[in-house]
Amino acid sequence: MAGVVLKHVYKVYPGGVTAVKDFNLEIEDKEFIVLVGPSGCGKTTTLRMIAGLEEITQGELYIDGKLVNDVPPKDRDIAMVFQNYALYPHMTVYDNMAFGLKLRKVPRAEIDRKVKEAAKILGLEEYLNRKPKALSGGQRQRVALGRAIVRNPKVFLMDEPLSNLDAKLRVQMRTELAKLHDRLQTTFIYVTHDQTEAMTMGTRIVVMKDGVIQQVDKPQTIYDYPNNLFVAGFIGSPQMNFIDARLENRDGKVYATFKGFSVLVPEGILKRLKDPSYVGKEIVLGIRPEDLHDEEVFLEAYPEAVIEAKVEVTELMGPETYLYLDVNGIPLTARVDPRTRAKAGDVIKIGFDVNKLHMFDKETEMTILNRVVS
Amino acid sequence: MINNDLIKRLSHDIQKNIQMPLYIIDKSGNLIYGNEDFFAKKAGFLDIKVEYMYEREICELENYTIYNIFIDNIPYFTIILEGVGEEARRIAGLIAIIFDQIFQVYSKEEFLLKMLYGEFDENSIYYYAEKYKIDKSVRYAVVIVETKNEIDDALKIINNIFNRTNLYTVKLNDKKFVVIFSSHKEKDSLIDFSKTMKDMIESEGYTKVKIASSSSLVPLHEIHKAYKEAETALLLGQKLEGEKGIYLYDDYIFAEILWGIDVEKVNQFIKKLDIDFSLFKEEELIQTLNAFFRNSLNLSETARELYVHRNTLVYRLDKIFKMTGLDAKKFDDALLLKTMMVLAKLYDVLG
Repeated sequence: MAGVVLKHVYKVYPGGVTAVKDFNLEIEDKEFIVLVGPSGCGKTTTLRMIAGLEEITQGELYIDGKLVNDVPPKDRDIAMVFQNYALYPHMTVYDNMAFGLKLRKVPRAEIDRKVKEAAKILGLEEYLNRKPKALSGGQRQRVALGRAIVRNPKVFLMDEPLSNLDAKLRVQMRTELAKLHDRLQTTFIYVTHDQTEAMTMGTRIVVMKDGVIQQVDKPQTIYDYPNNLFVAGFIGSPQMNFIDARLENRDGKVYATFKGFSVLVPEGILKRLKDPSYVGKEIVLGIRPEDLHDEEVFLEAYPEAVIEAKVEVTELMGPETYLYLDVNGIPLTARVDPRTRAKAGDVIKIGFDVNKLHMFDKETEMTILNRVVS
Repeated sequence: MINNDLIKRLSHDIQKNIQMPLYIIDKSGNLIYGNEDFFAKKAGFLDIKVEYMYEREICELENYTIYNIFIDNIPYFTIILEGVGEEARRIAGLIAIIFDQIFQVYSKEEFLLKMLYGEFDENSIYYYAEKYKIDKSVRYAVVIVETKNEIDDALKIINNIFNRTNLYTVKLNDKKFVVIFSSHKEKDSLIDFSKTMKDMIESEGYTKVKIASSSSLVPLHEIHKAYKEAETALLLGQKLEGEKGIYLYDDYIFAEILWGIDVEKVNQFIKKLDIDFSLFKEEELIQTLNAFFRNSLNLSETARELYVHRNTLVYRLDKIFKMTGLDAKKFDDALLLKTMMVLAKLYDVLG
């Protein structure tokens, strides 16, 4: 068990391509931290630098308090689980888990003890003599995890380990991984492009783009207080709606105006403005799909937060319905109750939950709202 | 090395030192060396020779002395001298000793290596394939694996993970080996295979690895071609995509064409274009262009991939236009930009 610290870490490839820029992060012991971002954002490169598979161009990496920049991967007390795992088909579950230790010439008795311990943790004890083809998809994935567990590492490094699984198994394994983390009480560093995985598994999330950390926070904090437009758009599905708007002061009340519509900005949001001079300026307004409403009760309660929109498409998802709307050329997505009567082609009223508004600077794309201190 | 050209050359040298006309025929009766009139004169001779094919002693037939050369107990070719008697027998025996010395038997590992390097002809490849029970009826792909550390663990991992009959590993040096494997599937399967190799070696063997794969699935006697493809992919892949780690030959065919150009001509071409090459130093713009090409010049798809607003993308493409006079949204200009980008990386000539 160990913490991991990255200080001003850079990765520059020959030819000058910078994959990771000034990466600073303190990962606490036993933390489950998730690096998330789109393809090419530098998350895998960062993980590979921690693993020792990529050299660090500049900066310092500490594992368990020791500087490990020049320590080879096998001596870093880490274990890796990657996306394209495969089991040794002609070996039993036991031998599959033991193989890596045999390569490292670990004594037989120690291998036996470690494999049996890992099998117990993973619920694989009764399958130790089976071959991979006699296992279910979930059990195979557990064997792959077992190969990492037997190494008894201080840090687990996982790069999209669930990406090759079907949707149902992926959901099941998300839960199993979270439980495994609880049981092992070890540091997990997990890379994914899937924001749902990040939100459901991480104790903290690191959102990256273009090799740069955009935000590090607990999942709920990232969701509620995205630092910038990128984080706001990347975290959440369907993604946050963005509207080019202007903050206007009319008779002492501030409205966000766009395409001939106005939405009253409540006092609570105005108090959070980092700079009052944004009133009178163009901003980017953000609103999550679940914060748009078409219920009569809501529309009557907040008349100054209601606009008209044309329904382009409706998607019944089961517990909810997505309305894809057009507001004079601005596309909006609303997540509403499945009992909605809206159908494609209708012009409907849609209400903003204005206490959930997000606002961003149009130039810097950074949030212009302070967080609520609880 | 068993090779008909070598047999011809050797026979030619021997012929210069003996009086009797020398002929060499293969086991199918084709003339490898000697005067072609021999066949015309002795049309019936070969039929008779079949009876002698497994004869291990020197024998005489009409006016000819015949001696079969066996490699690994299989008749490979026949020495025929025009003439009989003690002298002819002595010369036939000496020639056989020379060929025996040269046509030594290769181990499976040596055979695979020499086949990759293109040092065997088709006959020899199929001869050894039969000897080592390598399936001749399937098609093969070739993958080069290069590791940062020594390859022993990586070899163990690969040999255990792909428990299939038609898979062979050949060590090239301490850091590099080749995997030859049969496949019926196309590109996607090769990519998946390469990814699995990479992830498994890195996570189980704790060493960084680069994988380069041929694109063609070839019959056994064309393995050398597939090996050259994988070698090209490794060379050009690293030049163009650095540490990507998995390189498939198909992705570098365009670069391979440009790789053959004279550097002087590249410089002349660049001068002709007269554009601002500082573009190639701007990472964001290069990433944008790469994504735009990957998405078939589609603005919306590219913006989505890059997580930028469509207007931001248009702004960047306009900036590129101002720097180069080339509009990436037009196919011809896009082609020129792509060519310039590849040349820049291959030859490092753009400053």
